[in-house]
Amino acid sequence: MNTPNSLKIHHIISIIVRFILGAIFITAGIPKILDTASFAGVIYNYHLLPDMLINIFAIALPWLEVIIGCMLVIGFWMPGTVILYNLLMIAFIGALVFNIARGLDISCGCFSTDSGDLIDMGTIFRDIIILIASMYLIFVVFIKKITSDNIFAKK
Amino acid sequence: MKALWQIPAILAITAFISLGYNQIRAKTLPLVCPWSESISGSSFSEYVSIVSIDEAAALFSNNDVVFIDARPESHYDEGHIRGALCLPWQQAEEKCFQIIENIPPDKNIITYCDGATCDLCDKLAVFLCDLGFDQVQALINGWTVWNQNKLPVDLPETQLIMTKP
Repeated sequence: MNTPNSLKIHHIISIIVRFILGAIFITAGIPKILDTASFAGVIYNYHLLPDMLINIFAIALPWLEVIIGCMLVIGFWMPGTVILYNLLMIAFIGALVFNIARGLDISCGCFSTDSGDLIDMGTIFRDIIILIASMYLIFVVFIKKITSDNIFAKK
Repeated sequence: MKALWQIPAILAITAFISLGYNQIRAKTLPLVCPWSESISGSSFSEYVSIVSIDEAAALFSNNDVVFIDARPESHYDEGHIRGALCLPWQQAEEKCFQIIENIPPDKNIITYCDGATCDLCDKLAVFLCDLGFDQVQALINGWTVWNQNKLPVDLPETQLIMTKP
């Protein structure tokens, strides 16, 4: 039941979640933009992409994270943004699980290009928490259909 | 449905900004690079030489080398080259002195980790060179190739048996 109170609570929670998730992607993207060459090495180590796509991903993926992060924070184009956020998190978790299952000692490349930041089960657990939070935004945007425009109109 | 046009629009904006920034930045990254050719069979660093598994095994059998495991301690505890010392790259600075104090500077040292593209052994080797060791080599994909050649290892069970009175 979409009572005004529950809508308002979801609206407030979704703003907090948007800010946290947006900040996570912005924080994750900026170091990779600054050191794209090292990030390309990290992507290569995952052994998931053909050579011809590694540099293109290394160039574009950090910017995609930053742009999606900014859009989440300001609440712009939310339907497309939250879908992309969820797809990226699913892809990241899939890549981590695949390489941990293969037993590779590789750096995560999650929040930096530092080779000491190795992937482990804790990395997957962290990403699953972020995925759950981003799925909440899917719920808010597509099921509750809460946006800044309608929350006060329904009051 | 708004998402149907917003997703391609976001991707297009990303492509425009990222490729544009890559073109104007000081170190432009080529869009396509033969990664497999440039990395396979060579060390990541020009300062550290690579030791083959046969050379490493010969040095081991002559008791003429100290192996240093660059992997995290949890991986070391699960199994390592027999007699290898544990110096995870992440803790190299804080733990190096307690590990290296008993190693003569002219002793052969081989660093290793796991995975064909794992560069922790290479970074640790450079670090040890900087500390004054001049006989440091890296064994690429060390743990895997050591096991593939069925060379002696220390596993938790064997350590347990060895420590029993």
